[in-house]
Amino acid sequence: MSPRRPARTTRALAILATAAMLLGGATATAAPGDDRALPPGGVSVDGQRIPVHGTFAYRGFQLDTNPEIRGAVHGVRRIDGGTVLYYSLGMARGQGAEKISPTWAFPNSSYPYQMSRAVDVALIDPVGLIAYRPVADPTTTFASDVTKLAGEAGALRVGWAVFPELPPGVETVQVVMPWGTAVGDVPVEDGALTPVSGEPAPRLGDGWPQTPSGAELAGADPSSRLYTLTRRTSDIAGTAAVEETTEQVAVTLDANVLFASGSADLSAEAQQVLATVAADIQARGAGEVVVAGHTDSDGSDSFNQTLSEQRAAAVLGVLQPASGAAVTFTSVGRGESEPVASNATDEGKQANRRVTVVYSVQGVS
Amino acid sequence: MTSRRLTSHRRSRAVVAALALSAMLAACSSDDPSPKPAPTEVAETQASDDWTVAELEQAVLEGDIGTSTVLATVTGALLDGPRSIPAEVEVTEVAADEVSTLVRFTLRAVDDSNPMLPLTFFNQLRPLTADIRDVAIVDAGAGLRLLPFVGVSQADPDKTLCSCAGSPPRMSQVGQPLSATFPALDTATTTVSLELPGFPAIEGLPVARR
Repeated sequence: MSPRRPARTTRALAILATAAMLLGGATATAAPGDDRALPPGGVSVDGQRIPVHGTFAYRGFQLDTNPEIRGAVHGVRRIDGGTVLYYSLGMARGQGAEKISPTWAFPNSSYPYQMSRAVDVALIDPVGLIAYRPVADPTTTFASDVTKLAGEAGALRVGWAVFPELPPGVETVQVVMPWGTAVGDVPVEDGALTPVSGEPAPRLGDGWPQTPSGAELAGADPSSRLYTLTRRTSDIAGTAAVEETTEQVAVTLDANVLFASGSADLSAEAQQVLATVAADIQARGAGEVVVAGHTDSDGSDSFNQTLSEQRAAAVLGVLQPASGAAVTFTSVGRGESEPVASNATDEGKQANRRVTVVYSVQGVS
Repeated sequence: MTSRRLTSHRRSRAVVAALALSAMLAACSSDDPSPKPAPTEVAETQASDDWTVAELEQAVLEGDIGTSTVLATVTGALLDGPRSIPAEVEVTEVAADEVSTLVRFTLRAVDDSNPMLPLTFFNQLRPLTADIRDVAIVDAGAGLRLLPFVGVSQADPDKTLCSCAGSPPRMSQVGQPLSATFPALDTATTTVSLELPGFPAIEGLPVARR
């Protein structure tokens, strides 16, 4: 939800931003004037409740010389056999076109989807670490026909897409609109929106599109529309970067911090970092923990291979005693064989000097 | 949000936070007493809830929907190997939700050359995904750097997605709206920094709570 802010709040923001930017070395500018501000949650239009849970703006093909498409998300709602996303989109007048081009609004859809369907949308569950794309069966794509959505400038038309059923515990998802445009958190609610319009893409305020029945959705394969998500975080110094899915954690440790140059002797900083990793392994680790050492390309292959093995063994030596009995450990040296960046630059070499710790985790992340 | 789902989520955040704390302690870095700014207000706006369709359409199509109020401007360069392409970024929204953080910004050229852009400028390692997955926010209070979520199809490992915008193939002085969603911020966080490869860190961005 991105409500327009009243003048007082805008001024407060500008003051905060100015102060912050003066401290931070960047510049801040005041906001333009507003007309009627979009309130959080939605509005009533002629007695009909129009929920507004978020807004978005993008340009077709990510080209800023194309007209700007804008819209709002009106709901993510559980229906029989799936989850429906309602949104509206349109284009302001005065951008050099009377109507939206369908290809500005959505990229062309392709197999397994029908042509000209509005399927470049996604729902993201950032807690369960699963993303969802629209469902389809061999003959039907359960999403708006883009050619119907592409209306006249100045108007908002309502589109929809059906996704797999969300697990019962999911109460909030992120919505991603075409070309990766982020909307932010949207609550998951129950039941299709009413009243239902007879139009496939009604103008906003004229009712909501008819959604498919559970029987119609029964032929779709939801499992093919799921994406496994990775949450990516690190400490500010970049000493430890963590990539986490529901099943696995991969910690990449900066060897420049863990070890002196060319050495496999752990630093004092390393002991503290590894104690934290070990605590997490003990809390939720399962199966085998694989510790792998990597080097840059400086030096001979044999030296780098030996150094990477020694460094991995040194890390294992600290982790294993502190990680509990529920896991087993393996260490391996990869030498310079698996770079993650170019060895032609100092920055790339620094990134390549690393130790990774990969372990499985139990339960929902 | 159920407590069961959040418990593990918080635990994983705690791992990184603890790692961050370890690193900070090791560096003995901070005796800076600088105060934290107050949280940004997001006020209720209208007394009347009755709108016309035209008003609603105007608000969405022409109003500030997180795209106009410039919180900060910074100039830098998009990097393309030895070549660099001067550019400007305007940050227009940092909105913290319960389970994610939304950031919107505009990328524009500083001249009328309308340069073509490499796929790598905000995506060094996986440019063929054609997105801006290298953008990051820093929650200094929590000691964390956060990146957008990335995903891989369970049915086809060649299909990926990112909770971030696609990579623009060109840019002009008009400006391209870009956005990304990141993991949730600490509830006490009131400002963040935005890190874009090739640009100075944009610090002190006020966080709006929704």
